[in-house]
Amino acid sequence: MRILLLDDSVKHRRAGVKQLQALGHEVVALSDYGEARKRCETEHFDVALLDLLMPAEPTTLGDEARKEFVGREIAIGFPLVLDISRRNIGKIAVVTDMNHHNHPMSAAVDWFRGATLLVNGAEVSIIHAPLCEDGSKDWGMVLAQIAS
Amino acid sequence: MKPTLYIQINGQGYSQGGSPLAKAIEVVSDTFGAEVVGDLVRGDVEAMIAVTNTMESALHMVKETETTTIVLASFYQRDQESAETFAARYPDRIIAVAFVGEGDAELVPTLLKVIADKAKED
Repeated sequence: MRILLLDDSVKHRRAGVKQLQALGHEVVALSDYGEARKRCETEHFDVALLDLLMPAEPTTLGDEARKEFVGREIAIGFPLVLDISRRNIGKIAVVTDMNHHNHPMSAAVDWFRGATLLVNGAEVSIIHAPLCEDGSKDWGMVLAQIAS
Repeated sequence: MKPTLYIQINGQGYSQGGSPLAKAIEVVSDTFGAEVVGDLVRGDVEAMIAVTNTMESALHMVKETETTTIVLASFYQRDQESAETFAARYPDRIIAVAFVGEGDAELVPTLLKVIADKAKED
């Protein structure tokens, strides 16, 4: 499968590339959600694995908003699902390693409890990340969860 | 070993010879004892220092690396406040300075200090 992996953490991206390539998949690993949106417009992905919380990017923001928001973590995974699910991606997972006691958007992930949602024809899962021993996200496990 | 330093100056893309500002930073950095490199990350090896002039690039750099110290140098005073607020979100990673400012709060003295600190770490 061709997999889009979007995460702002080097550690999680490196782990994902290694794990998913070992399973025989082609992985496009990105750190910018703006770039991910563009790539989804022009390229086909079978699966998208998205971080929930990522730093806000400056694109289109005015001066005051740039000062207020750029670099601040926002729950971009949720609107990204609505956007890229229009691009014929079969399965999408929003995956966070943020403890649900530490961030309201991570706490909101509890609401879904492993349910599979249908969004614009894509099967969407919103989940807390299973972790490897080194603390990196276990993307292979995530893929197995959404494939089952 | 010399600290490695990567330069990305945006909006200065001259068709021949690249950005003169980047060239100037390269000369200064070399004089201060850094080795200027062409890639932010090569394989798993990150440049120890990166210099850029936009928040876009600095944010990208902070996400693409784990340990690189990023020096965000603003051309204009009006950008400085936003750059400092942004840099404060990554206190161990990003230093916001003016290209030309007052005292140590400008690029060249900052670069000198960062290169010296990295050389000591190494």
